[in-house]
Amino acid sequence: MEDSQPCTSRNLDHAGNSTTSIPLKLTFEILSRLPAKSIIRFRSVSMLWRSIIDSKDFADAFLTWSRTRPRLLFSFNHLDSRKLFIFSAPEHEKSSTVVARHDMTISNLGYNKRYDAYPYYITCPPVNGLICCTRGSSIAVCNPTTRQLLILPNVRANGRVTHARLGYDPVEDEYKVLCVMMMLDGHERGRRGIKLEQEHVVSTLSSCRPECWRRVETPTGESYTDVEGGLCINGTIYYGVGHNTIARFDLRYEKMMFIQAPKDDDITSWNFINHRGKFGGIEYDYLYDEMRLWVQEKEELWNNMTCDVIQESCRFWV
Amino acid sequence: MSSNKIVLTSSDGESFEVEEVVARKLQIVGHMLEDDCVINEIPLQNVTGDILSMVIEYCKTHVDEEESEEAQTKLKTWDEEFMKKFDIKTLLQIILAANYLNVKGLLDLVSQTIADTIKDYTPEQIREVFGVENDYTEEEEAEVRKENAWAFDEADTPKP
Repeated sequence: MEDSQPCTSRNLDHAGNSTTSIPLKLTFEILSRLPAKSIIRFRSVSMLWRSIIDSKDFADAFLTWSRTRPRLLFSFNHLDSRKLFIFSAPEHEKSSTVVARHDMTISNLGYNKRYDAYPYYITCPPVNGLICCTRGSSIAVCNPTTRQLLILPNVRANGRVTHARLGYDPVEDEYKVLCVMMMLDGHERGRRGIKLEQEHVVSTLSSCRPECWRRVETPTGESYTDVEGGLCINGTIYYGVGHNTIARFDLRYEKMMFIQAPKDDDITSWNFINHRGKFGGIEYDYLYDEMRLWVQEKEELWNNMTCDVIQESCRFWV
Repeated sequence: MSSNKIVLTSSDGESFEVEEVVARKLQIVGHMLEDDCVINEIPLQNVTGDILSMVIEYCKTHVDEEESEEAQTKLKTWDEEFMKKFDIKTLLQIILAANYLNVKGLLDLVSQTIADTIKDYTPEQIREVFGVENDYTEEEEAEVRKENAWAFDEADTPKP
């Protein structure tokens, strides 16, 4: 807070004015409860208001408040125009009908001519409302709430496919993007023993200066052929790298390690979840109408719970 | 419940006799009572009688905050109706009083009510109501408005 003085008077900055002057502390409190659109409009009220709104403290307060009003984010890709439309809707609305809001359109930015023909893709879940999208070697992070788009420096893909995953490190209070690059025909190359040319790089998001990509070494140096799903929990990015291995990337120390999935279980059918701060997955067994929840308790210890799924919910498979 | 009475006096000399439990909802009063138990008249310099009477009305209603869902819903409905009575100028007086008297629940309630009231205001309306001086030059203001042009659109959807 910029103003920690007790706010007991009406004579703060603009004494002599017939209208009531509200102390900074209370202005901050009121502003943090407004919808984003109003907040952004009120940047033009005065330099003082803009400095409150642009401050890190305010962004943190807004995020805390906004967590109490979660919204569902979803997107549509229009392939012909290569536009990505991002929508959101309130998650806990009392009424039976909910109107989605069109938050943002990401269009062809012409950043890299080679990828002009590609649309932007979202490949991992949002992190604190931020979305990471990729198009070829162009990687961007957007904030649908403020309609801001941050384009990261291009990675040196050299014809490889890029898989980007966004994460947040709560200790250093930093957002980072992990990017895995490898040749497209990974399976075939792997089978024939040809190198996948796999490379891991990471970049820290910063609004004031473009951060370069830093190389990340994997523990064994071995390559994998698939990158499936992705989830960030408590400073760690998880994604599947095959039938029974999960990659775990520690954002703070930028260290990669691999963990084994539960024995005999194929994680390619998992939907990754955050179960009370622990990594887990949900899988459906349509043959037996079962749903199983896996949660990683410790390194090699997985707990699971199975429940029956009512027949109706599986009807679309018939 | 204690039947001890406390007299609260506003800056313009209006006096309100309230039960001690109600007065204690004003944390500023609570602290004074802890320091010296024999106080039974408290002058409150930064709040006028008309605003103080509204704060007391809130405190009286919230004196027994029951946990039950039914009681909570009832209180919430009361809060909503209570807030509907005030225009923006009065709400701003109430937030100053709630802050000075340190009534946490009222501070939260009135902050949210003000936010809901001003959300569609223009920057000019905000300056007038909040008594904020526009310290931008014309060019700077035009620049900021241009940066955030979408936030001035009435429609809630981005342009294609």
